[in-house]
Amino acid sequence: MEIQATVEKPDVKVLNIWRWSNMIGYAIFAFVSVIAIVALVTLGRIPAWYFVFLVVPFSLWALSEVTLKRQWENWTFQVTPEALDMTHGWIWKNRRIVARDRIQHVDINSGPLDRRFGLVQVVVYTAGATVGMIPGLRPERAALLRDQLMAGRAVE
Amino acid sequence: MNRLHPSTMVVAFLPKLYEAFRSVLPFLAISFVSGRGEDRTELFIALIGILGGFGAIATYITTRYGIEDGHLVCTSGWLFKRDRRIPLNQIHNVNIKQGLLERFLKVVTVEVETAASAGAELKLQVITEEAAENLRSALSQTVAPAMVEKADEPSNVVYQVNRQDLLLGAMTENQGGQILFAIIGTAGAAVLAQVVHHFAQIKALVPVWFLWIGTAVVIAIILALGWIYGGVQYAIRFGGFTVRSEPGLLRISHGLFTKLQYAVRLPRVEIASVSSTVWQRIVKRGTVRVGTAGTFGEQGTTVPIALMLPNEATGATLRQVLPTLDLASFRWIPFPRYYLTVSLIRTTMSLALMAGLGWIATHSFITRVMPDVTWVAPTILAILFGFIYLDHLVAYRKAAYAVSDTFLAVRRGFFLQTTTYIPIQSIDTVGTKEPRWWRKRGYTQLNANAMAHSVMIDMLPIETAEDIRQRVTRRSECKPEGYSLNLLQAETSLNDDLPKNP
Repeated sequence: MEIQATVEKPDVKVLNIWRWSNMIGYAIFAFVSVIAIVALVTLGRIPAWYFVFLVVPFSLWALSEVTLKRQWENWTFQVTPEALDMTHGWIWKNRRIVARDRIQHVDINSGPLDRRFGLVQVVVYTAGATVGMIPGLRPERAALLRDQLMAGRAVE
Repeated sequence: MNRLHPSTMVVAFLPKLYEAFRSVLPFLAISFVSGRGEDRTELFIALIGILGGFGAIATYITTRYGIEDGHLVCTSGWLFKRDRRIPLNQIHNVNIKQGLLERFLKVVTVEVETAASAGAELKLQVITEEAAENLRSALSQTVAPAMVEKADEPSNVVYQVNRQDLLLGAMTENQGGQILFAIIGTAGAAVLAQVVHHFAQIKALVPVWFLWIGTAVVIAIILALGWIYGGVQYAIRFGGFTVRSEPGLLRISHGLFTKLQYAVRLPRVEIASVSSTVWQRIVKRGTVRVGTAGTFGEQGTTVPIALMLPNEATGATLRQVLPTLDLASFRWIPFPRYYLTVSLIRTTMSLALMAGLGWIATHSFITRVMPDVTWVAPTILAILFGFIYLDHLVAYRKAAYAVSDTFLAVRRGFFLQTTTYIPIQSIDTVGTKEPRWWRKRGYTQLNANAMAHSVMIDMLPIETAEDIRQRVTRRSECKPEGYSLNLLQAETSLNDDLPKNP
């Protein structure tokens, strides 16, 4: 049987969510680093030039900003009659096939950032564990996807 | 709703006290070797022991269990209340454990497993043998009659390990090297350095050659003692290993002191493996293990169904649990040479990190405190590095995978070689992962996941991975025939295939 299913991507607005999450994460990292270095310098445990290390969170953040677009470009999913096929990753390419007849349940989750940009995540479970998460879907597409996946194997 | 047995307070408390003692053992050792006795570690053990004691009493007072509306119900907790309900039809395994203390008190621990649980979904510690029997009867009348232990019911013994095989297993299963590393891991490099420090102080009194011979003798004694200890542990653990069969079910029991019993539902077997140490391969023996979607309590996710099995009986034994498995049909493909390069680069990187940390420890601590033994850490690291590289090199020569219409198989390891077989029918998801530089060379890494187990092929051609994906997604077309609940009704063939000992 030939697989004739459309290859889909998360909504492009997911880039905003990823940017904000990154920014928040690295801001916390930078804040904790500043507090730690200030405390240690004040106590005289380390010399003042250790402030140079603050460049690390900023560099990592800048690097992640550069790679986000690439990550989105490489995020695809496809619902075939037999399976859900997900691919993501730019330098490390990951691909996961989930047999549709083994899917136990499908969750639709949305965090504060997702809701801010009007998107949701679809999380797929088999009996064993969480086997996949598709980010950045519009709620109507997510609901349709959930119905598709919960219908089980389309072709026997 | 029923209550636990009052001896819960003792049976649940003692392991906690033992855990507390074990966790502070390295500190006690350091305190003893360094001659500092004012650490008051015993107070710490006492504190943990008292807290554990309160926990055990609270467990006894607050726990209630029973069967209601098709569910096994267990409520417990006082500050944090927990109400757990397990649908009876989702129960995969019911394990009964009776340790030496429990045997004396005539109580048992019951562990209930489901597919969703990584370990025991529910643990009833402890209930009387009668209560366990009542629970068994109640479960039998509802949904899962085959799953529950039937302690004294005569059933067909298809495999029983004899004394010679048990002894052979005990002698060949444990490995001196592993025990040496375990000692380093448990005692810690700092304690070893302290010991060597004391040892070095007598250097002035005896000739150097005597010191080296003494060191070699000490290492040999440690290895020998470790080997004997491992062998005794093996014999105690697997003494009386017996496999009984019922339609669609294997019942396994073993243990000289702590008696372990578990049931393997054959239709739920989703993985099988054959493992053997170097010494076992010399005598052409191996251990066959199987895994189901649930777990088997403390045994982990797989359990042995045959110990020290002659190689020629392996295929027949595996076919009893996975009927379509035909070992002769496998065409083993070795891992590509690039895999060896990648694994050596990765090992070198992680070892370089370890060496860096070791260097910092040596120069910041050992040099200052014990300047005469600064060579200990580099020596241990050098031995460790050498062993890890050797392991990679010899394991690479044995590593291979095979794909058939109905199975995926992987063989890896040298000092402990394991061949794993997973039916394509059991695979839920297939994942591949590769960095760009692997992709350029046409290789990827594949993970095939069943409900509770997974098999990884570290490196294979992308086309082969695609082929496996296709097989999994279209598996209804290659569904194996004869995968039935009554596999073991042909008892005669099983009895012929498996070595049955008096």
